[in-house]
Amino acid sequence: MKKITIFTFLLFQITAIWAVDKNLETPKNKSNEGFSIKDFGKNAAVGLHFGTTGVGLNYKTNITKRVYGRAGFSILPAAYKIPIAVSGLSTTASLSANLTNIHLLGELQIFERIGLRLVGGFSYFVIGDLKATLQPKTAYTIENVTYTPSDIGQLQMNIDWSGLGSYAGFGFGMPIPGSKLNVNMDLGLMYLSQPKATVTGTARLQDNAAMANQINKNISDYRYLPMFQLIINYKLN
Amino acid sequence: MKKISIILSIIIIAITVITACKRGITENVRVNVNTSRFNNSVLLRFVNANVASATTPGNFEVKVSGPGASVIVNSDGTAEINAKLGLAALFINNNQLLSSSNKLVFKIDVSAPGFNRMVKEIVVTSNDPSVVTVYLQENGNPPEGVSTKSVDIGLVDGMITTNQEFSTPSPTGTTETVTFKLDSGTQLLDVNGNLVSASNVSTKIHFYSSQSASANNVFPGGMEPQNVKGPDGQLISGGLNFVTAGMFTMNMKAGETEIKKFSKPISASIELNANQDNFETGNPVQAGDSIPVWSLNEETAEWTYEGKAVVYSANGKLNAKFEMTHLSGWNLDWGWSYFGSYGTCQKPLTVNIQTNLSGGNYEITMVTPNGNYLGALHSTPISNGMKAVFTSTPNIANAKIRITDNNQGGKLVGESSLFNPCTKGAVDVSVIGTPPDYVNIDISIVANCNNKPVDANFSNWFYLFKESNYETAFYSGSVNKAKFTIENAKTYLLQTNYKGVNYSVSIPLSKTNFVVPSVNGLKCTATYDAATNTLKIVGVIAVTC
Repeated sequence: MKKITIFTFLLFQITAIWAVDKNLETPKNKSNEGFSIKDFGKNAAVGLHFGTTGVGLNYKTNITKRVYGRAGFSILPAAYKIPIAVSGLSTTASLSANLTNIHLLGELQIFERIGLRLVGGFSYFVIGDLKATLQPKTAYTIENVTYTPSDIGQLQMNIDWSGLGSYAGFGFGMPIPGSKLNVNMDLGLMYLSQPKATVTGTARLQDNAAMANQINKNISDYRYLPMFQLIINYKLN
Repeated sequence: MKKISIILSIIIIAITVITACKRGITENVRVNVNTSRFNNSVLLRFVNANVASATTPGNFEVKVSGPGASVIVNSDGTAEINAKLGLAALFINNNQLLSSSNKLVFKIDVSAPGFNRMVKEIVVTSNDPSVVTVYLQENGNPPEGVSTKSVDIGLVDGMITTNQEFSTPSPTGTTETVTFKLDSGTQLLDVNGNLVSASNVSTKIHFYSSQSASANNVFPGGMEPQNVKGPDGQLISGGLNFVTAGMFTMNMKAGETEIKKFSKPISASIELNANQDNFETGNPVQAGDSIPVWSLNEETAEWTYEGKAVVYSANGKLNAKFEMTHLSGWNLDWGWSYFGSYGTCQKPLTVNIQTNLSGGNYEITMVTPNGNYLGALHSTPISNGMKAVFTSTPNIANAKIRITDNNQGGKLVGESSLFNPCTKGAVDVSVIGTPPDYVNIDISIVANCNNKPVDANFSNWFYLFKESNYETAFYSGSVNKAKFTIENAKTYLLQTNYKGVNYSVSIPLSKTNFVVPSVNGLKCTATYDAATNTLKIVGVIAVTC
């Protein structure tokens, strides 16, 4: 059901982009006069973006008057600590995310003079790791024997989303700056490849590889990455 | 059209967001915690030395004493050791690295219902889990190679008033026997040297053939003691491997009083086996040879050198005669030290196994040319290319290796030619049989805590028996997982113990996926992988943690 939903969503986005663009390119649309596919690359910009998928660079150019192509990459190296309870085991979790993607997106400027765009396309995650190291915070008692945190050891969980994903959303702001610079905003959703978890442990937690089976069941829906992104564009021509 | 497209897009995005992330990452996750407390363990496996008997040792206390006793605990960490269904798991509560030169020695003393008391020294030389088989002699039903004799003797004021002479019957298949002579006027004394006041003394003798492996196994004190005082009265470094020419135990009871001493020595004469080799000369024993005599203190498991028995010929048969001033186990033995230098050339010997079989339960035994026991690697599986190493060998001109199948009542399945153990270095032995339909087993057992989402890998053994005859298939110690190869299409009894509670389940083995529901609290799920011929079995016991 979810696959159908996603497929329908993407199909709809592509269809919408195509349909609206076709509509825009009808001879009745005066604003489109004198601009066709042969004008490909007429307008272009490079952008510095940062947001929920990290920071990166992109290159954007027009395909038709209101359809643009955007290619770029993002990287997100991050690490922080949060408390997590795993099966009653109170832990401090050190989280680190390492996301590196390259993406190819299409943009449709819906209205000629309004900076609202439909954005869709694909993203390939070269690296899509979320690593968590869980260290028990307190002693743990089993069978009347109390184990200190160092007795118990650590759990390392790794979730890997690397692979091909897709993106759909909205873009706000004119795709190419009227002068040299402008700022765009992207708001959308990235559909990631099926995540795969692995678990390793140390000391008394060494035998937890099988835990990954349950985690994989739990995260089978964890394929939707909300995307909020600001882009500073620099017009090239 | 444009507006509709935008609205639909927003709706679909909202739906996808809503349907995402329904579960927490750690929902229903169970943490596996290794709760094993001890690294080293020894499984004592008590078996009836009489393989023909259906009686098996049951539940009884295992008293542990001796120098290493302070670190011996049960799985709960307490010192009370009990055998259940003939199995007692001991754990070593320290992190000492054990080796041949830093071994752990302790004594066990058991009186299993229906069996004779057994006192035995246990020697642990490795941190790997090990199985020690302790053979018990069933009351009134001794194994092959053992004969018994009961005699009642009248007393007057604690004194024998007529000369007494009696012999044990020869164990089946041998002419070996022991004859005692007690002179008139011999006074019987208790452990404190006091004269007993009884009108009658009951005497019970067990005689053990030198040629019988089962007799060697069941003799009290064992044939590889560490606690041995030599001719100089000092402990022999590394202990001894006895090479016996005959042994017996003699117990006398006047009412409830145990007789331990005599006012004057009594005579014991052992008729030797016709195939008896002289360990020292490497030749068959002959008249004029002498054989060391040793006695066992059953309370301390200490052996003491008592002198030498002189071999003489009578009626065409060889006998060895000596005198006794006290009662205990007596053993006519040469000896060599597996862990020390006494009687050894200190050269290792590698036994290369060539076989079409895999697994099983075998004894790899070094014997003299006539089959007298020298030393053995006990209760081991075999496989093709396996190398079994005797780290030391006796200083003897000729020996050979015999491999016997414990699962076939000690049947001889392989034998080497004669070799000099001091110079040979390595010897090949072939064991060819009809290989059964084997399956590889990858098994793990966990305690599933029903009051918290934790699976505990616990410290204890698990065992598999063939249910048809309780033949041992596999033991695993101190860990909750193991890989091994056993015969397919048999029904096995899987058994383990957790906090003093026995758990068992009957598993009809087959090369399929199957689940054996919990019967006695132990549930098994099996998954078969045809590519590797491996049956992965996960056993789960539900416990309150």
